[in-house]
Amino acid sequence: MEATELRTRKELLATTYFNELYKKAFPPVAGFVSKMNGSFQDAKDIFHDAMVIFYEKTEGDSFVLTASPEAYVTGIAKHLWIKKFKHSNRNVSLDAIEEGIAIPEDYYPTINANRLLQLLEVAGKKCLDLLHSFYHEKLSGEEIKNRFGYKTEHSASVQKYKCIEKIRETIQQKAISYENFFE
Amino acid sequence: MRTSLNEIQQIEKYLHQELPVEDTLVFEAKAIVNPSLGRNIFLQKKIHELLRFYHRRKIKNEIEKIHRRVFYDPANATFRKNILQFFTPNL
Repeated sequence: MEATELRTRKELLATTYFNELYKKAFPPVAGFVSKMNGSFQDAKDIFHDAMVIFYEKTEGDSFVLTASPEAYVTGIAKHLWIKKFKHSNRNVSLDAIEEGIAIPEDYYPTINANRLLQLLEVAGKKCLDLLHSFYHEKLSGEEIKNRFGYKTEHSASVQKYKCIEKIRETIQQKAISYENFFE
Repeated sequence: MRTSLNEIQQIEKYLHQELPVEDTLVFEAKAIVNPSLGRNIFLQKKIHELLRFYHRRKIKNEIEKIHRRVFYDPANATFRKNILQFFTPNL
């Protein structure tokens, strides 16, 4: 299970790879969390977030796996624990490889970003999904046209810009109440 | 396409660093003299931020499905027991 092999697989989450990784990586993460006096729920939350970050990293072009996938996920989980519970690195022992693992600064959304996203999921789910398929799933124009039922690729991309405009308006309307989002 | 949509397309190219260097500089200069453009660039960045959270949430839902599938699979009873043992108070 080399990193290069990972990158070329499109439907990573649907493959047995993640099932296997799940079984290999959950025990060390659970062991770590229990050592830190966390609960089963804490372990599950941290572990799932670590898996999300690991997955996100495998999507990047420049990702190089510096340890076994399960050791890497455990390393991410330790960093998340430090971040989430504001522990200092001194309380959590990190080996050299784990020290080198970086997690996204903005992994946990602010309360207002969360509220805004919830609002958009109700008021503009189709737009969110369309933009998601362009920017994150990186589907081709053809695939997007078919999935969302547009006549041409051009109309799909025009719709993308209309969606950005619509979401922008929603954000602006909420700008006052969601002030922190704009910091 | 409408002018406002063309602007969004330009901002997209700018944010994805798809503009040639000279156009990038011109665009940045425009954003300084045109506060509405500057604000729209800012908002479009925020939309990408929200989409990143949305993407993560989708992945997390998939991981939750794996959890339900693997953790509660009768074939993985020992695995489940070993995990839960970490959280059983020592008597």
